[in-house]
Amino acid sequence: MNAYKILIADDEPYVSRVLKLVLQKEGYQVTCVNNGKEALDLVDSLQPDILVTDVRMPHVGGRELVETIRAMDGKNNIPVVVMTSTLESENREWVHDLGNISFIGKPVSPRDLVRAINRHFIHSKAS
Amino acid sequence: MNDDQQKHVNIGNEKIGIGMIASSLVVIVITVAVFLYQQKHEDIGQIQRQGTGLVRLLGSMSLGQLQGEGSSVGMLRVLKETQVNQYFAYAALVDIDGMALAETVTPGVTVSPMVIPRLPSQWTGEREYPTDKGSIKEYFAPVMQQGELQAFVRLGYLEPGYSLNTSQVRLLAIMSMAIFMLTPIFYFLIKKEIKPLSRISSQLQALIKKTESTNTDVADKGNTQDFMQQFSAVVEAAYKHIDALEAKQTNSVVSSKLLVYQKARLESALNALPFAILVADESGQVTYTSNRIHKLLGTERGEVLGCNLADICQNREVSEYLVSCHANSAVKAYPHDEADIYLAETDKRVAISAYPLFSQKDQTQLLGTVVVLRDITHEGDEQKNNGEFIAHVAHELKSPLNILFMYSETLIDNADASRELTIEAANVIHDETGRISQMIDNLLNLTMIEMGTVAMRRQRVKIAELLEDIYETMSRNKQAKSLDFDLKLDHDLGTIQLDKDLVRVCINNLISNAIKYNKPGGRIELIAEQDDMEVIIRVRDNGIGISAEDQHRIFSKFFRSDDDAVRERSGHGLGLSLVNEIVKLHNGKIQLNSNPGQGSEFVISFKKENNMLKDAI
Repeated sequence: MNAYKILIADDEPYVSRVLKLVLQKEGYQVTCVNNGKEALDLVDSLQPDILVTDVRMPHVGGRELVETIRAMDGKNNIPVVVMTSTLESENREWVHDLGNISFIGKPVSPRDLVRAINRHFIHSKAS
Repeated sequence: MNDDQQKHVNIGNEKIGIGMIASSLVVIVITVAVFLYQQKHEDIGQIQRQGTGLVRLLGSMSLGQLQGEGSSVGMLRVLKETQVNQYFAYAALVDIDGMALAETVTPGVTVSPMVIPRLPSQWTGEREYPTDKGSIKEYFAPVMQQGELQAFVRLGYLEPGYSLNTSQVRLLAIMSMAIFMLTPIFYFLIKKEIKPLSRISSQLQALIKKTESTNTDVADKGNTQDFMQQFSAVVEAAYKHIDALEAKQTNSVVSSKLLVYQKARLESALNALPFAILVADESGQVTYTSNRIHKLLGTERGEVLGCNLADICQNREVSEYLVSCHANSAVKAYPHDEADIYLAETDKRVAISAYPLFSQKDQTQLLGTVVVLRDITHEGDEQKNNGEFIAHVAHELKSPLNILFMYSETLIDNADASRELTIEAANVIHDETGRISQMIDNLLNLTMIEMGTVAMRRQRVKIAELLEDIYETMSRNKQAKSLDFDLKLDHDLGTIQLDKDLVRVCINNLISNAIKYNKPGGRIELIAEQDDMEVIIRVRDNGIGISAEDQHRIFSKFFRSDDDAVRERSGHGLGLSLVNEIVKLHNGKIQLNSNPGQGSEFVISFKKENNMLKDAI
């Protein structure tokens, strides 16, 4: 059983809850927060292996969260999965410079997300 | 000149001749009268001088010298003999008792007795008294001898009449001759002078006859009368002309007032337009602008007037556009499209267009340019707002759909899912479909109210019944099970004209919020009170409350607080917006009292029926 830590930031409690459910089933250690601010508060102590985040959130949104993390020493290359709606996908340019970011469109398929995360860790393990 | 007119002139000339002879005779008579008058006064003056002088001289002589002594002739007699004056009447010597000592008298004259004056100051003097031969002027003086009064000497003169001496008669004759001689000369001179006047008179008459058809009957009148009549006619004609001019002036004043009024009306109409209008003449000089020009260009109206089109504002784009319109004064030069220009001076976006102005008579003659400036700063706002609204709706609809999709896929992928997961998924699906449904309902209601297409079905609603019904339904809400629910109604709340369904949505939304944003074990109160004017409905909770910052935005469409406690709860930011619209639709008021952490109270007040009637009246 792997012990990869996943941090999920979403202001919709049900979204966090489903994702937590399916990822925990895969053996990941999942922590859910309501917004970017809570994620930033936790990122240092938690040291997540991957960050799954929504874009529109109160206080600190997804973009600001990723930008802040990228600027942090030691955590500037955490892989990030951004959940975006079609409308938000039009503004994806902001992530080009930040790197190591993948997108998953809404409605989010838990199946696709789990598959993508699994693939990521298999690749990283192989490398 | 016709015969009649010639006759008038001849008759006029004869009258002038007779008039001149008569006047020359009058002049002669007056001259004679003046001579006579002057002569009489000269005689009186001479008598006065002679009388006073001579009486004093005689007074200084002795009695003997006066009366004559021995062979010598007395002075009195000398006076008579020498005829010292043609008006001489007498010379007399009387003693101090008035008795005559000697006298020489002109025949026919009687010497009146003398009253001897007592005072020495009255001894010398003069007096006048009437006699049969006329008034006598007497001068008297005392005759003194060695300081003693001896006698009085008296000199009398008759009052002078009107008479002429021979030299004067000669002079008068010469003068009269001269006047008679000069009269014909003057006559001819005057005749020569009045000739042009006669001609003018004839011409005036001709003019009057020409200007008006009435024939003035002047045939038997003299020349002067003719002239006066003609002159009167001219004056009358002049009056008529003045009257006509005055009428014309009145008309022009009325016309100009009418023009001013029409101009003012036109200007106010142009000023009322949502555009700025600017008119330039064919040389490109601005001759008119509407008031709005200042708002758009930032330049005062007075500054723009008289300016060249190129100089009406500092913006280069505007100048270039207008110059390009006007450069060739040819219709082809006018661009078909309006220019969209941002003016930094006024922070406005302006659509500017120019049109040629043609002469009404000649459609090819260009008279100037009309420029229309339109403020389009906010033109895209509505579209932008609509876009934002759709994005909001899409986002809000997509969130619950996302959740439904995730749960359903999880259930599909986990055929052996636990009972807990299945129940949870079923609950989530139930809640989220309810959320979508409510959101769509709210959205439809809100849109219909905003578009004004909602059909209000006002009816007399018993407030108590409506609230009891809502209370029953809401208190059965499974979410409210952990909450303490209370309904407090005043007695006899009566009825209000309301759209029952809309008000139900309104109060339901408030109670839903009170449930949603409450804490476990919290309390919700639905209260209805009344005063003379209004029925007041309160939805009160002791939940999480609303921050002061959010309170004034809470009724905005799609507003959701950033507060974590709010974000934990599902919502779409339409409920309170709809509540607000429904209350406004009923001419009611809504008020929010809230303290974060302590709860919120929404207070709705509806006017009672009788007051609504009063308002309507």
